[in-house]
Amino acid sequence: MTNFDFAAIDLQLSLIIESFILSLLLILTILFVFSKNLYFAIIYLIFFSLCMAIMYIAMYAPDVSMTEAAIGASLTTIFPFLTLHYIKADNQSNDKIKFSFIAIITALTLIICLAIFSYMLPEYGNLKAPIHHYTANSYITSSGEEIGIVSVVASILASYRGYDTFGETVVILTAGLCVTLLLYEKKITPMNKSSNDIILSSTLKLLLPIILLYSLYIQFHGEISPGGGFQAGAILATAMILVCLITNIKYFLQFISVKLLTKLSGLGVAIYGLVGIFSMIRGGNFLEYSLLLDNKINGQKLGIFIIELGVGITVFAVLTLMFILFASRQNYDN
Amino acid sequence: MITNYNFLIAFTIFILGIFAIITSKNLIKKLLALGIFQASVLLFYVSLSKIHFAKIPILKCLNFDKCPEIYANPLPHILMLTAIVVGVASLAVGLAIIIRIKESLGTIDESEIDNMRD
Repeated sequence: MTNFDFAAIDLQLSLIIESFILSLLLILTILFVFSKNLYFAIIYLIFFSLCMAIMYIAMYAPDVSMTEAAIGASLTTIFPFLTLHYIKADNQSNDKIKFSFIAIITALTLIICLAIFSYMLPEYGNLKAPIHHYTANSYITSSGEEIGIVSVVASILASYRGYDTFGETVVILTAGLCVTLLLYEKKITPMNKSSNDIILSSTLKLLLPIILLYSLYIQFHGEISPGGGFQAGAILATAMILVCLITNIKYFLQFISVKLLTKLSGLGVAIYGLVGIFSMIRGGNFLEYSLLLDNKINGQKLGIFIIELGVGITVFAVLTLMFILFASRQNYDN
Repeated sequence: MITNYNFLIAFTIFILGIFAIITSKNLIKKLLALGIFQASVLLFYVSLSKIHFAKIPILKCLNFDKCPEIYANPLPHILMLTAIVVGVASLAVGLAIIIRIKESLGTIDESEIDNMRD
């Protein structure tokens, strides 16, 4: 038996597979840039998001991969489809591309310059790169004992950098507010027709409880496995969109009205802020979870649990509200 | 074998995204190109965090000294995770503005909007 260097073969194989997926990404981008039909452009974008999700797994980032698949591949593409559906004229869903010589030359020059710089960066995957030694190392070595949960990503997201996450949740709420200001009408008259297809309704009856359970699983297991509030909110919103697509929006609005969704989106941010204010009442800083309960570690766990719940509620409510506002906009001049 | 291929592709998609924003005349296509441009930045940052043969950043045991392992750098993961969600929120706002533009101006083609201004 000859001695194969399995580690080196493994490395070469993984680099070859990653290079293949990256080349696919490049081809899809080029196809996207030069495509004239907008529907094709959105399809290329879906495939692009899927390849990005696979790349993130190859780079050992399961949280980012799950978020990209749940949000990027599904929600980033349904909003353009809804907009294109609203803009019904056929000549508006085609793009005239204007090539100017200066733009092409500038683009090529910049690509060559950045390609030269990319080789001055530390080698890809090398442990000796400086970024792995300071902040990230201190988080990894101390987060297990200071916070007590297994997922380093959840502990940094919710506890060490909890203030950033609060800001991002407020950004999502603000985006929901902006879309509501732009597209809300007092009388929402959504379409009343639904597909009476028996295959689709039976599939919905089978799939919907599984999807709901899965989103709750991801919400509450965010501390033990990849997951958390963002992904769970997105998956729940996708389930609601599925219901709206198979039945109709009027039917869906009987159960979850627009008023309820607006209240839920504010409720999530309020829960997050109240946790911070409560820890200030107990004598500490804003969002210092150690003071919520008597035991420091239990306080951290409780704080992370509650704020992830708040994030999940806000993300779900805002994304579903955006979908309903996009999909029930009527063409008044047609 | 080319190393640093990730960074090369990330920069190329970056420039192609800007190129698509400049050259395309349809407003929706410009927004989607902005999405691709953002995705390339995320790819760059997460590529910085990879360590070969590392474990995913979920601890094997709570006390790091008892089971020291090499974990992938979790810091870029967190920043990029929130960037994805914020990106879809801002995309939705941009598309809502495009719907209102279509209602008030009647077109979403940039050259026609420029002609209208004169």
